[in-house]
Amino acid sequence: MNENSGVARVKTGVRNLDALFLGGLPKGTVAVLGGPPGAGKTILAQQICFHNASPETRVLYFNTLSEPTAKTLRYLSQFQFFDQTKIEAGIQFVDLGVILRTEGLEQSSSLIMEHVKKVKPAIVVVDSFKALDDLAESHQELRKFGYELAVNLMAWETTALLLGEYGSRDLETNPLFSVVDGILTLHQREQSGEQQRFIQISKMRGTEHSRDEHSFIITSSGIEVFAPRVTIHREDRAERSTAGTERLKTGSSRLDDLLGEGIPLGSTLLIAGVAGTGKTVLGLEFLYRGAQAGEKGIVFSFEETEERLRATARGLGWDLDREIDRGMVEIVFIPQPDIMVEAHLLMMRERVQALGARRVVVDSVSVFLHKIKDPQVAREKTFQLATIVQNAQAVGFFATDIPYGSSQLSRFGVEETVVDGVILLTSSEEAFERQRYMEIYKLRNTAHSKGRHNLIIGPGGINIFPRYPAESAAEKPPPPMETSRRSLSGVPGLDDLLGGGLLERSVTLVSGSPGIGKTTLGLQFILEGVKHNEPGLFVALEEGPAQILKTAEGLALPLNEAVTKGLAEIVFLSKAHVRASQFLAILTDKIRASGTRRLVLDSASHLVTEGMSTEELRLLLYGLASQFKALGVTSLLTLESEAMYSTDSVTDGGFSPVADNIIQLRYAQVPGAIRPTLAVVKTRGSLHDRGTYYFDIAKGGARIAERIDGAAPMRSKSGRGKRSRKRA
Amino acid sequence: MERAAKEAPPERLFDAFERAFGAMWRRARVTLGDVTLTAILDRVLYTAAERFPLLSPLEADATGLRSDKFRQRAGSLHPDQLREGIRFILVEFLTVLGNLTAEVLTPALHSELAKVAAEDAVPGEEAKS
Repeated sequence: MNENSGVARVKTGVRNLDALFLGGLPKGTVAVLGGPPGAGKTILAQQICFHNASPETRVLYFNTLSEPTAKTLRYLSQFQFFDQTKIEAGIQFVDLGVILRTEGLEQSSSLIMEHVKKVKPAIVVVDSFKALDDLAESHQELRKFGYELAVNLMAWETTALLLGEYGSRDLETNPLFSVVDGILTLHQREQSGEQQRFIQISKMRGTEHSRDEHSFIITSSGIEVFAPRVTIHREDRAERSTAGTERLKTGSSRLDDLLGEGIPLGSTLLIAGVAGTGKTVLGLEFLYRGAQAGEKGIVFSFEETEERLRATARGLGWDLDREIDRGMVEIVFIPQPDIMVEAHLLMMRERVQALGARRVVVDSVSVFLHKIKDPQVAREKTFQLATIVQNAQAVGFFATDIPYGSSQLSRFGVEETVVDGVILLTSSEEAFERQRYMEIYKLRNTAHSKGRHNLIIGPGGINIFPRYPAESAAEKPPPPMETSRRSLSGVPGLDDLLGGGLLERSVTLVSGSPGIGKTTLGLQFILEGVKHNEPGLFVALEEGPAQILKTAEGLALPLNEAVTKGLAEIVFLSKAHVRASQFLAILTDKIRASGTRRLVLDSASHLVTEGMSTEELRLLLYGLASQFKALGVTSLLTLESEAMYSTDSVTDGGFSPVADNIIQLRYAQVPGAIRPTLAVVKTRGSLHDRGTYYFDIAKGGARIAERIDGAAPMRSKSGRGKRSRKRA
Repeated sequence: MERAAKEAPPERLFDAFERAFGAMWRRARVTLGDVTLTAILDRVLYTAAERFPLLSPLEADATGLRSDKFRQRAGSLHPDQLREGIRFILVEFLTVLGNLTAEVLTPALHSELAKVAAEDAVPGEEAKS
């Protein structure tokens, strides 16, 4: 049975009510409209009458002993659906009071039918029918009266509404309820701490119908039913599209890096975190970036007013005001005490549709649903919210407050099961600072980055520092290094030991004792690149640019000139202000912006912060090495070694596998002094000399001197130096 | 039946109508019951009387059509008026019943009417038709 089953319908004119009957009241239905006094029966009946009344579709409204017609009309006129011009021509009010009092049931029935015959109404209302009930002397008399009236009204093909103060007990005992075709009950009760009105269809012959309770309100517009369970359902088209390939980029570059190929349209992501982790800012930035990209967005805020959200945006340097003014962003503020879940669900759907929003932020869903105690209801409402987003083919960011100290992903612990993705925002105290992190916990149908990524909120918005480079997640690995393409080190004699120079895009670890010349080696490497117009980036973690320039000047290295020409750049990243986990993202941006071909990180050992394990540093170095390679950069990372003389351990921390090449600098004791030495421990894809050489530093920089064992260098076949062959 | 009615005097015409209506009533009563059928007939007669006041003496009760008062005047009625009136009743009765029952009973009622028509037909004329 469906809407097209052939039964004509009477539209009620009550918002969302027709949907409960799959299109309206079946024409010819005789239905009881029951409920306690004040439940809204009369208003509902009158709203239906005025919606349908016309000279062609006439309505007969019988008042019995319950309420004087004059009062009914006076109160009625306050509603917007009331139309004076429909009185008499469309609606006729008939007072049965006198007949009932004096003549009883049978005469009342005759009078009703007499009017019906004269007017031939499409709709008949008896308000209240319970008054007729009360006049019946027996159940038998009432059943007979009710049956005959129902049959007579049926014969005239009228749709009849019999109103009465019927309770649930009447459903079982009142014979009228077995005669009529439909039973609608209105009632009110406390739910979620508030008195709410509900409508329920217990019976309706001739059509399928909802059997659930649905909340409604009475306003000056009349009755408005909220039935999201019925009216908000996933459209097949939207379901298919979500499984498709259309995706959305957030517009925040590093967030997009984490989200892989983008968020499938129609998806909803839960933005989960305790208070203060950046949920509101993330949502707001999502809208702002979208607006800049030409995508409209809307935020439903239950805590922050529009003015406060605008101020937040201004504080972050965003011109959100402009985007609001030009209609790209809408802020809908609903004060927490005013939340009516079912009503606002429908309002949200309308606002999203009206704006044509591609981005929907709910801040927060946990506040929106805070009055709901049952997690299953919370789950259902979250699903309905997500359905609104899916049907609009938008992307939703729903903030949710996680309880402190909980391992839950959401307030109610169930919302994450109905959304397509979860972005988890966390924070922890590290080195006397609170650090924020983001984790893409789940994103359906999308290969996304794993793990926690550091983020900061500051001017410009949210700045994410992905732990892993986006390029490393690419399907194809970077092409192998070509042995014919080499980057000269700039250190006289070193390239011979390395088999002709460093392979392009290779990563070299320079492990050295304190003060042994690692920085000098790095500077020469940069300056050698400058000679070949290869932009170089010297990343200092210990000393500022001025100190580096001074050091270079002291060695008569033309760094200042290279910087002036724009071929070399010195960047100082203070450990006090930049977290280790942020380096990767910062350097990636810098390399992309400057077109860097050579990079020195001096020293990688200083990436270590309090509480950071060796394993974490190894992972970080691995990430850096992978990213440098992916970006086509030949890099040199210095590492501080505590050992002065020992060569037992190359990098102290077991970082050797990270690098393609390893150069070890250690001191050697000579009579009355110590003297730096250099050994090439490892080269990948090259032959190299395994001898240990003195490493002299003077004006002009460092250079390779004689072998410390006095032996002659092992010459290669080419005569430049003998190299041991090593499998790549 | 229509053909037979054209030339029949009013009394005979009304007899034919009563037989036809009675057949429909009996068939419909089995399914719908007296109360419903009476209510429907009451509506049909009320509407018919509005359009054809000469039909106003006709009444409905639980046995069907009560025509005693009407028969007293039937002889004086113009056959065309009577023919139009009883035609209206038959059509309206079938229409209302059809509306209320989603035409479920309509074939059965037509079948009843056909039987009556066959019984009423003059054998020679029936052969011609």
